[in-house]
Amino acid sequence: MKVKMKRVDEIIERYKGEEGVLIQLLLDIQSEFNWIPHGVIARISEKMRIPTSQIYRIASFYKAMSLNPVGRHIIHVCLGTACQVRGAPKILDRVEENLKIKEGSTTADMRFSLRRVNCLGCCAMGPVVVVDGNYHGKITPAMVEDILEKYE
Amino acid sequence: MPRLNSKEDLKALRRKIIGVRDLNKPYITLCSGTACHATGSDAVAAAIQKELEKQCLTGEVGVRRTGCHGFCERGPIIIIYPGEICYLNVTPEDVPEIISKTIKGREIIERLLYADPNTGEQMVHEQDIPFYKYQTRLVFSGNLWVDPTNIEDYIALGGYRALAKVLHEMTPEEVLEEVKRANLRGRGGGGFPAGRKWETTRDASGEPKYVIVNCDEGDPGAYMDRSIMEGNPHRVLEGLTIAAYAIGATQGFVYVRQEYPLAVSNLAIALEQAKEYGLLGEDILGSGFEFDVKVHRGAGAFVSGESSALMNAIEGKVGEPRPKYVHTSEAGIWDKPSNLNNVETLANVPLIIEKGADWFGSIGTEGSKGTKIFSLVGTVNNTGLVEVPMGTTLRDIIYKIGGGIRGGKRFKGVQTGGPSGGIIPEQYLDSPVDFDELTKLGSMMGSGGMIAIDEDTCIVDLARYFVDFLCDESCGKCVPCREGLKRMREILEDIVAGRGKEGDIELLKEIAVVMKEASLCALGTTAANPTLSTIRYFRDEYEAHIKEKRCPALVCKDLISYYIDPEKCIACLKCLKNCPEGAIEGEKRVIHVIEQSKCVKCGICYDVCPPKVGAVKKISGRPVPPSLPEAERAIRKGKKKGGGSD
Amino acid sequence: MRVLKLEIDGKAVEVEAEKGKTILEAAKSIGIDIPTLCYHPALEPFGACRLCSVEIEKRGRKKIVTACNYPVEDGLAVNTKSPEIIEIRKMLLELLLARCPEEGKIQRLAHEHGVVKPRFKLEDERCILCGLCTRVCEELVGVSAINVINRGVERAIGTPYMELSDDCIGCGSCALVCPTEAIKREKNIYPTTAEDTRAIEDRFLEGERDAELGVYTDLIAGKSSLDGQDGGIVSSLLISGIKNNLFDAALVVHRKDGYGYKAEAVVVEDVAGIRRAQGTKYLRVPMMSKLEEALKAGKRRIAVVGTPCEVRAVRKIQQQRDLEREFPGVEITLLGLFCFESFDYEGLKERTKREFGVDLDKADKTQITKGKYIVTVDGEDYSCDVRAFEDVVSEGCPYCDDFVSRLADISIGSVGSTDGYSTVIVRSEVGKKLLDATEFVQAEVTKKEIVKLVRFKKKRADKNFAVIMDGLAT
Repeated sequence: MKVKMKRVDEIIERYKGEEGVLIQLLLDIQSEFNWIPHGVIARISEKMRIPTSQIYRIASFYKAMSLNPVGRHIIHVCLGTACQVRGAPKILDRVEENLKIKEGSTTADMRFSLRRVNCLGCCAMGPVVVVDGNYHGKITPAMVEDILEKYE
Repeated sequence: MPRLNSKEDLKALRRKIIGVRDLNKPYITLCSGTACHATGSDAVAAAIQKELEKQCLTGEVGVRRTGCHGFCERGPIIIIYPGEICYLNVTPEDVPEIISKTIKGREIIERLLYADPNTGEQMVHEQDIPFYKYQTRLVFSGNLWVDPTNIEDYIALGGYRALAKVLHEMTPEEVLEEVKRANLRGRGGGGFPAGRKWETTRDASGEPKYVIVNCDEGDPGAYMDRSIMEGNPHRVLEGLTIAAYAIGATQGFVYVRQEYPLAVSNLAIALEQAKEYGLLGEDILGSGFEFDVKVHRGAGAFVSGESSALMNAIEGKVGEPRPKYVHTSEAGIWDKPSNLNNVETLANVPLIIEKGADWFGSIGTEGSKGTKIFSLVGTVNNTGLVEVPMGTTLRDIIYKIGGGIRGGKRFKGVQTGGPSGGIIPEQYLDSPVDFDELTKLGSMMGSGGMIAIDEDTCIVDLARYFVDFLCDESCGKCVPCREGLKRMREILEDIVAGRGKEGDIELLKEIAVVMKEASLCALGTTAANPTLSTIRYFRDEYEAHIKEKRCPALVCKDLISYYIDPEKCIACLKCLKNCPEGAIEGEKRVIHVIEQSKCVKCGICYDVCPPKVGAVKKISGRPVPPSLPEAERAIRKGKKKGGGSD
Repeated sequence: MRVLKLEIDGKAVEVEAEKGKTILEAAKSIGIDIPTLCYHPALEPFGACRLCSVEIEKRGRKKIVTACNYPVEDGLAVNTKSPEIIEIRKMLLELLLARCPEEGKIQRLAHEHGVVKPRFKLEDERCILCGLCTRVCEELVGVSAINVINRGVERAIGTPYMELSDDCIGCGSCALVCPTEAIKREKNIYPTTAEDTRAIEDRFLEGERDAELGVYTDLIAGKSSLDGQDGGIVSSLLISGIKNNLFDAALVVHRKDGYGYKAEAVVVEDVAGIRRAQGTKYLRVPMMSKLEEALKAGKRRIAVVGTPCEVRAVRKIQQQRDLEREFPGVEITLLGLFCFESFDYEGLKERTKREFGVDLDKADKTQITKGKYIVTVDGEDYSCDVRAFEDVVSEGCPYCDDFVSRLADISIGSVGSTDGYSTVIVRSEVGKKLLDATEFVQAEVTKKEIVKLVRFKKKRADKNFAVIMDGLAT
């Protein structure tokens, strides 16, 4: 995967000279590439004169940032309390079983990345699964396969 | 739109907006909060547009996409004016009929109305539906009317009038006094009086001063702040600007979770429009007051909702709590006095200014004034956002508004206050809900999550869930929180796996005390609350797990077995075909049997067994009955053994 | 001057209000010891270990706070040993001992509090996450080579991606402050302690140990026929090394094509590549990741030209990792440069612009000599006192006490020789062989000039280290 450093530089340029922007900048990088690629941290470090370890620290702290490449589709299984008491653990089990991966990882064919989230704020719809930003509410384990099939 | 340069300009604009509105013109409002997005409100909106074009009604019928109406269980919700006809669970397929019958013919479509589950009585208006009937919607009311992307909708409702009043008729001291007198307590967690907080920041030495809205809303199960920010962002901005005026701040921040994309985008639009109308920026409403707001997106960290952690995050640093014995109201962002309030708190402010502290004080209880929005979720029938006066009983909320527990299950408890709160059992259902009462019960208000739990939830497993959540969400900096949580999780995992030992409960309590006393921030000092409150009210469940190796709620995998009742099995093959492990033996007309050694307890057999049959059972604390000898498993044709719908 | 009066364990203490002392400091001043693990007087309070929790009473209300960061107040009553406090410390130590059962310091503290066997499952950790190493590295040294990573129970200390650090200068500060064995086991940073230095010298170098110049056999001045800065002797050594098959490739720093003054580390394998890398760069560039990359790409016999910190890093890796097993046939020849300090590219560029109004990227040449920074643009020299550039010096240089690359096989620099010549210090058989294979014109060296700078740099580092050492003694 070749990272477009020109894009990275453009994003950095948006924030140059401003204080306290590192998290915002990294979020923009994350939404651009769906992860924070290896070379990008060095690039930001050089341009913004911030040690790489400080950038890496932030990227490894926040759940919205990924230090690993992600699949074509990102599945978020909500394990907020409301979803939890409505059977979300079983949904997660079923997705894991279906994709043969654990949460936090990506399938070998790079089709899916699976994440758990601690509440998406759609508690009335629980259990909720979000794939590429599409919300699927009131899921039962039996529905999992059909949902995943929609994403090639 | 020229900017508004005075109070009179605002008044005139409002008159103009209302003046051109034809009250007889048909209007459709469609709830478009995140939950409704999830249930297809976009598709409904598209269908409405298409159908109006098809029936040549574009322009003759107004359409407004509003924020969340709260009754998320039954979304998408549309309301049709005039007549305020409320339709629930609307699908795109319903749209043509709605347009031709209700819009054109003023005819009500009964199947889309709310029907009382007990009496079958149908209700046309939202306010007659029990879910709404028992609520007092003050803060949330705007959501029903306002298109969050159109500032004029908010102005039409009287929006920014409070700001105009403050800027032109009140001194900052008077504003502060009014909010203090109203005794508005913070809706984000601890319930600290907002007025006093404002005063601390105002009086603190150091310039500039900052005001911040906390829309981090990390408590799982709570989403009222999201719904306000998505559905009525101007109200929050108005409250924030009033706070800035009272405190003497010229720069504000909105800290909003990245996981709330709709809130982020609606907020951005609202800021843009407020600036354009002269309600933010320089010389607001011609008063000379200047105030600007920046948005900071949170990147997914529960601990960053803690005030000093949030200040760090705004500075671009890791959102970890600061080791300082000084309040952020005195030394916050870049060590300057910084006032932090949550969304709902600030949304109350315009109301207090407009209607007065006395009016506000007339609602609620002695110590807790006004209303509170709860997200009533979990296993109740009517889940959604509920706004009630402080002091409403849990029973009223869960039964009158929430319609009781779904599926006729037994109520077990209600979890409030998120991972810092606790679980309140049935015997306290008649307790009035306010800040102090919940604390007394070993829980807390938190941001207002209220998760109803029924008999199918294992309390020990739920405690384990919260501890696991916090193991992930703690920053991990201080020893008691990080190591304490890790060990609590270890012990709780042992208990749910049947490895619990005598003394585990005491050890949990010992760790809890040290976490409470010695942790660096509020996340750590409250992290043991779910465990402590469950031990307090449900100790018998812990003991069943530890001593009898039994899970009374039949949840803990290692303590339960699945078993097919030969008396009820109709040999339909459903469980057998769905079992991912091939652990079920049997064939057509031969009673099915689970081979226990192969069973991984995924529960699929239990889920797929038709409810009428109910042959698959979960058992715990006792051995699985021996399976029927193979010779006796055949079911004779025509004669079904047991089961059925008895 | 206002005086605050308080009581600690029943003893009266008076503290000057203006000093902003903490309870911990006040207690220390009257000889009351409060246990700590994450505290160091030269660093910002961190509040992580919570071992210094004490009970305070203020206007009749009791509260538990940490002594390391709680500012003393008038009328405060502090109890450092109440039963609650003892219980808290016991549990904290039990938790820590379960995490790090093998750590001597934790064992000792735990035993002192009567904790012998934790009731929890034992782990095999060394690091207690006190954060002293990361804070020394960030707050004092200014490098931030290591940092906290992850969060919650997954929190750890490490370098980005757990890869070799390009920022670590091997100053050893982290190892000094680390209360456990953890830092010594870190594989991606290169803290060198006095013992490490000795061990490296014993293993790789030969000759007399000179207090100022380190271990060496020969000290000469040389000049090659190549046209480079300071006699171009580095290039000559590299070219003859490749021609004589002493190594196959060299890791050097050259100016990046199209990027003006900016430099980067590259692996070169021919004369043209070596010539391109001629000249002093005065910049710190990522080196260690390039070395690892080259090894992984199959390069085995490599010469590395580096500054003292880079030489230290390479030696530390040779010591700590079994490179021969990882990369069979590996042979590294270390050419060390004399270095007083290096600069940050973005900073130097900005400062040059501000100081002289010229673009560093258009410079024909830069030079630091006799306390002067000289930049030549379009044939014109601009110069000023190098001290004007102090704040764009690379972080960490003030903590480095090595001017002559004491751990290299062969060290090269301009100090000590006359114009056009370079000083060469031979420190090992490998270095000797390389020098022997190279043609050059020899001249006399003025050792005392080198010694002067060696001492100057050492003094600066000692002064900075004293701050850390003082904290350890208390």
